[in-house]
Amino acid sequence: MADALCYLSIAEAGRRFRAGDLSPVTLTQAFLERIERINPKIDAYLLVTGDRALDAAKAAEAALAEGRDLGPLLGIPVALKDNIETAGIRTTAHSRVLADHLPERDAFVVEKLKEAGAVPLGKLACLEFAHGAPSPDQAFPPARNPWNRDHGFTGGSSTGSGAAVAAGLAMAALGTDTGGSIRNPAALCGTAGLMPTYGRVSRRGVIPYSFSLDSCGPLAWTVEDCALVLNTIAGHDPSDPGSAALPVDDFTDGLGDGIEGLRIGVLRHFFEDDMVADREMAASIDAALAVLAGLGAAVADARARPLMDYHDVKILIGESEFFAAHEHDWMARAGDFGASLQYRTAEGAMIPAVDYLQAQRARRHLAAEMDALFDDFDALITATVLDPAPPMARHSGGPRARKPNPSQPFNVAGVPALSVCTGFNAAGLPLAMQIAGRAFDEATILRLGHAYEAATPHRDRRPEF
Amino acid sequence: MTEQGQGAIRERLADLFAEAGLTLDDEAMDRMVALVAENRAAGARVRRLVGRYDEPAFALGPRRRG
Repeated sequence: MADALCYLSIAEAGRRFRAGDLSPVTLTQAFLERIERINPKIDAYLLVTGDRALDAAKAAEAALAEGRDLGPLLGIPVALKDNIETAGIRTTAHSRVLADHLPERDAFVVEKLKEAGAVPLGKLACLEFAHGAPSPDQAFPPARNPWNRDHGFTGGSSTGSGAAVAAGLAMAALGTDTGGSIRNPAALCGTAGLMPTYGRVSRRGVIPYSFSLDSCGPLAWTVEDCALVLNTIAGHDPSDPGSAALPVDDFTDGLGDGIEGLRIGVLRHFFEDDMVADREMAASIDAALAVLAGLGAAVADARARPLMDYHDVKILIGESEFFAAHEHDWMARAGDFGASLQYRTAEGAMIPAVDYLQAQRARRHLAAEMDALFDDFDALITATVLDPAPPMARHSGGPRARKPNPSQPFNVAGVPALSVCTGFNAAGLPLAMQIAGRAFDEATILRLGHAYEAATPHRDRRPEF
Repeated sequence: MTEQGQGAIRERLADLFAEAGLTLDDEAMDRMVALVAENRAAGARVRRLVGRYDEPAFALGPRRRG
């Protein structure tokens, strides 16, 4: 019974709160009990703030009783990637460097969640500073994939966010995304995950990886729940220089209106030519496209620049900005960085300033070309990742070769992108597709993702413990 | 990249790691040199995408404020 509560969607829990047959305290207790039992198996949480969660749940319960309805996240248990600052609660970014870091103030997104009456359960594992690898020398264990706990990588860098949502240890989690860090764990853990448009969600209080590429957004079991969280955390924040002064829509408006007539461009060359996706992954994307066509969407192939063009720009910008953000700590105490990040950080120091600037100049062209694609299409679909969850060992260690991935183009272009589960392979590991949209048009890609989920049975399957 | 270019990268990496109090073993040094060379090649490739006096993008959000 208690476990079943942890598999409710946010929308369902909200309906039951308001019907009076479930209380925020009961729901929060169910999550805390489940976390105690399941988290040791997957290490999704670095820190559980149970007492604070129960206090927040009691406040939510009181608000409901008094008729002060703060909206859909009232009383909803959520969790935060540990690179998102929380006042008076340790925020480590999964690094020894910040092992004792107690922020004085909540990040903008945390303030928004609290104002909406959400119940933060704790802080989630991630790749070190959202950029390292799960090497065994780190202060905390890496999160493990609930679909393959023995050795399955969750995808990164929002590792705990993907694992916690898939395992029913939070109804939604916040992640951050610089080159796929929300969408990759969403794909490998079988959840939905949305990287909003660059500028849609404030990064004030988010420990930076790359100032001009970072986004903050939700992972949740359903697309509808991602929309509900985005409603809460989106909005202009003058204290984030990248924040856009635009009105925020209600992203659940029109979610169920269907997709008849929507024009979908398929960026097939990203996963068939530029890089080659796993056979079952590619087949699941084709099957998903057939479902969307059956729902009335017009599906045609589209073409963007080769993945390598986006990859080059992302690496030059991302590595340079990462070093700029972390230079002080790396020079002063590099030994406290995990082995993998010791090397990766140094890469940024070796990129000439002029190469960084040329990449920013190239980025402008790539973004403009991506914007132009949306003259012909309402959304673009491609792979989120090329392969299902790989073994953890493949992602640990020292300096390693990188390869282009289909998530990076949308960080470079600064447009929103959503990962949606497209089923499971023969080994029972999740498969996924990625839906990208026009800048600030999250509503259309959420509508597509929601229509797909409603037409398929993939949300009925959960990992077994 | 020429042998001389690789040698210069090797020297700069050794200095950088020494300044941070770290040492690189031979295998890690070889892999770092390869990564830095890869990034230099990326720098050369992105130049193909830009016009003579193009401005950089920096942050896209404010540019799209309307």
